[in-house]
Order: sequence, then structure tokens, then C-alpha cells
Amino acid sequence: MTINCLIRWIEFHDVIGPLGLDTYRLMFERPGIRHDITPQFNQIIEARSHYSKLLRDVMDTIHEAYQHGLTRSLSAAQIQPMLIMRQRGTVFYTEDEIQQALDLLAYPGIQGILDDNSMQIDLVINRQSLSKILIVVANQIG
Amino acid sequence: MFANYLAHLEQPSRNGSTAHNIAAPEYETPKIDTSKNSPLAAHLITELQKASNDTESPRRMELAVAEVFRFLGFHTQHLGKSGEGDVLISANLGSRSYKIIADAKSRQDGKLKTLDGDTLEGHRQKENAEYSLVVAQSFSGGGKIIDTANR
Repeated sequence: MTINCLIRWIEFHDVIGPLGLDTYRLMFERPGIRHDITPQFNQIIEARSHYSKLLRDVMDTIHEAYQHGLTRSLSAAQIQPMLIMRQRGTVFYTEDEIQQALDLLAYPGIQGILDDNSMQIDLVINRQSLSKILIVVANQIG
Repeated sequence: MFANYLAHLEQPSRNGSTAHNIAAPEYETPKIDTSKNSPLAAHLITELQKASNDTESPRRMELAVAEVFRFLGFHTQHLGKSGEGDVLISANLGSRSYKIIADAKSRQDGKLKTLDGDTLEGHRQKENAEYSLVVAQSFSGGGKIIDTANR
């Protein structure tokens, strides 16, 4: 591995990453002289971006539904068609992905949704608050 | 979520290659705004560059490489004695753990012209590491060094 490659890795980890050590294994799997970090890191970053956008879209979609007079709880299955309508088919999220986003919002350290234990949820924060909570949580971890 | 995504990338295909090997050419290497480097990253980069030319103190390069991999999240152990690698780098991930034995090479002109594959393999086996890593400013010496690296 060249020094320039290692420097690129440092910069990636510092500015764009970090990624997990299991992902960093990709840097060692191909034999030979490595002059740059693997392009596969971009795939992981795109996935990160996809899930961040999902969180934002889920929150905005529910908020918009509330503003239009929704007064009942929602499930992941109900949110999916609302997301498709809102995105006009440009972005597709699976029901599983939406459920994962809701699980994250329901995490006790975030408390972004209230769950009545019947898979129906009510969103109780907006995305600006979520962003602030995540920063607070990150600072407490770090 | 990421674990699932990564598992998908690494899923072997029918011909024995992996999904990420096939998908890789579709992606360019990531673009990075280096003006956003933290002071620690900037320090590591400067030290790495200087150490790679400092032949009076090979230990400096070994310590720089150890520090860099610690920054990247690995556990590192500086070895550096005769008959062993320079830095043992460990990713302690339970059942997914792996180890790398690294040799850090400093050269006045920055060019590493030879690689002793048998020695590297000996170091790797001694530490029971999955991977061998040689870090140098650049590699030259034609096909022989490439062949050794490919092994």
C-alpha cells in the first residue's frame, strides 16, 4: 500500500466516514499494490445517504399527513404508499426499510415516536429535533 | 441496516466471485474535500510523509503506521524486532475478527524496489494474521515486486 493510499484512507475516514472495521477489510482482500482506497467505499456511503434520506422522508411525510388533519396512528405498511405518492415514484423504500427507520425513531435514547404496542405509531418530534437529539447522543457517546 | 447492505455486497455469486467485485467498476473512488481534515488527521498525514523518507529512524515510520491504523479504529501493537513484522493490526470483531501484519518501509528516495515474499509470509504466519501489508511511499522495481505483491 502506498503512502498516498493510506493518506486517502485517513482523509476518507476523517471527512466522509468513518466506516466499520468489517468494511475496512475490503482494503486488504485484493492482493497487489494498492494506490487508492477502494471504490466500494462509495457504495456504503450511498447506502448511508439512502437511509438518511429515508428518515427525513418518513418524518416529513407523517408531518404533512398531520397537517392535513390525520388524527390516527400509522403503521409502516400505511406509510409506504404515502411515501410513494409524495416522492412520485422517484425513490422507492421497502416496507422493511421503513420499519427499520421507525425502529430507530422508537429507540429509547431518541423517543421520536410513541408506540401503542400494536405496531401503530405516532410521531412526536420533527426532523430538526431529531437532528439535535442525534447530535446530543453522539456527543454523549464520544 | 449497514450490516445487511454489506452482506449483500459481499454475497458470493454463482461463479464464485463476489458481488462487490462485479459492482466495483461502476463506482469511482470517493472524492474528499481535504480542506475539512481535522488537526489530528493533518498531523498523522504530515508525520507519515516525513517518516517515509526518514531512513535514519525506521522506527519512526513503524510508529506512524501504528498511529494511523489506531486512528482508523484498529487495535495496534508495535513489534519491530528482527524476525517479526513491524506492526500487528487487529480488527477485534468477535467471529468476524481479522489481523494484519504490517511492514513499514522508509526510503530516502521514497521508492521500495524489492519485496521478500517469503519473509512477509513468515511474519504473517508467526502472528497468525489473515493479511500481510507493506506500507511505502511508492513501489518500483518492475514486474518482480508486483508479482510478490500479488502473491
